Amino acid sequence: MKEILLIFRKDLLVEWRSKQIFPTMLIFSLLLLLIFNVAFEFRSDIDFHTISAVVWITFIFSGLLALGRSFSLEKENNAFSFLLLIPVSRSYIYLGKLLSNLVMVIVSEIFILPLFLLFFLFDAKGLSLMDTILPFLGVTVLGTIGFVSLGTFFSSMAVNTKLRDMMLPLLVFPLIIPVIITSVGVCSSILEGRPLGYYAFSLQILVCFDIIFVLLCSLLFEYLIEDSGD
Amino acid sequence: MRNFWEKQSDMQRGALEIEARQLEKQFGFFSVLRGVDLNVFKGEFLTIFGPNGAGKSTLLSIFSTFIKPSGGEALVAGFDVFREKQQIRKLIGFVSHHTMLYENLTAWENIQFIGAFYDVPDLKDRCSDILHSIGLYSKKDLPVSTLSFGMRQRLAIARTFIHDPQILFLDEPYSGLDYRGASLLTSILDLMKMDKTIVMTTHNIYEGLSLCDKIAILDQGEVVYKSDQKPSGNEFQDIYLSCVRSGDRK
Repeated sequence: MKEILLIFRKDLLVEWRSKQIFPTMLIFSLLLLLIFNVAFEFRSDIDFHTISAVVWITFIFSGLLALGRSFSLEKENNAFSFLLLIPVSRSYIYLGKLLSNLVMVIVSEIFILPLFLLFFLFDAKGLSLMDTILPFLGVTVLGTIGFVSLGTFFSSMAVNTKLRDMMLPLLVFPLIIPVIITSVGVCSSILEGRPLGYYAFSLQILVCFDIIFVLLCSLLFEYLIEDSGD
Repeated sequence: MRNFWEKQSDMQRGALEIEARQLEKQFGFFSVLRGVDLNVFKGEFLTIFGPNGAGKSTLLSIFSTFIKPSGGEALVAGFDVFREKQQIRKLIGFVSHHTMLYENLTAWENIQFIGAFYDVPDLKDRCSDILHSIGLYSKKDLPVSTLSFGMRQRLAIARTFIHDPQILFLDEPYSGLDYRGASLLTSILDLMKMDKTIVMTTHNIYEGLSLCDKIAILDQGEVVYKSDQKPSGNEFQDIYLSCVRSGDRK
């Protein structure tokens, strides 16, 4: 556990000093929401499913920026190689990176959400903190765990390829489709004011995806980063 | 400086510490190491010379558990590099010509970050001692990105010693160092070699010969020369030129 927290703290400290990822994510998200808003001609009659899809596309695209940089920063000066020399389980390294990525992506999403409300739901009625905003935030966190767990895993793979920036979306997108579909569906139900019972099963599926992805990625991470010997 | 390094515990020479038996490494169809046999006993200092692309860094990468061998066997402190990596990682330190430092962290933070993983007792005192010993204590709060290459390399070396490893692998540690940095590194290694097992690869013939107990020359993935006696500089040049065939064949 100590090892996970050490990597987590180091990653946040590096980001705090470099300020490379977080501002980029925010500006990118703002631009994306603006483009969507203009594309929809500032209409206020867009259905909630489309709105949910827009916000998740924004989360995923801006999140990929953070995930792409996650291991690139480690690669500078080969710092990651030294990390691999430390006698700790590779799963701990993965979980440390996952935790720091998760915090960065979720914090950026917390900043994005008010913009999203402003752009798409400024005249929506019946939006309350307890019934809409907090459940929406909860689903966002659950969906983000699934997305970031896969993104962190594949980021370590993509960073060793020549096409690292292009490779990451190609590796991540096909696998996060179930998470996105479920998250968009649940977010849409929340915005429509449906009761918890209506989307509870989808929430359970989302939690299952998260558990499977985190467990599987932390177990497979060792095989991904260790040399095959061939 | 001497006080810190002299604090290191004494160690008996004798037991076989590093061993390669018919070690092979292939990247795809390209054979980088071909049947390498090497023995280094406890407390010995082996310098490996060889032209670029001879397989020196690959050999150290295998001993340091970065990469797995394709064939043969490599043992460090009796542990297999393929099956017992974690045990080996607790015992070794690795210095490369890449500094492997985090540019946005300070000198102190870089050392402390690594030391915390090894549960180094009195970590703050240890970091402080080690930074004093390499003359970087006054720069401890500066980000690594603001330090010169020589300073970074010294810091990288100091960080490797934070957990007092009993075995050191040094891959071209003199690369990019200025005269002062090289002298400091030599004086550190001179003290370290008293109680540690060290394997170093270098192109720096003078430093490599002055520090070592034994030498090996690697060429095209094969050990083409090894000796428990260290030759003089002139003798070595003749030996090197007669053994190394790189460029003679494809």
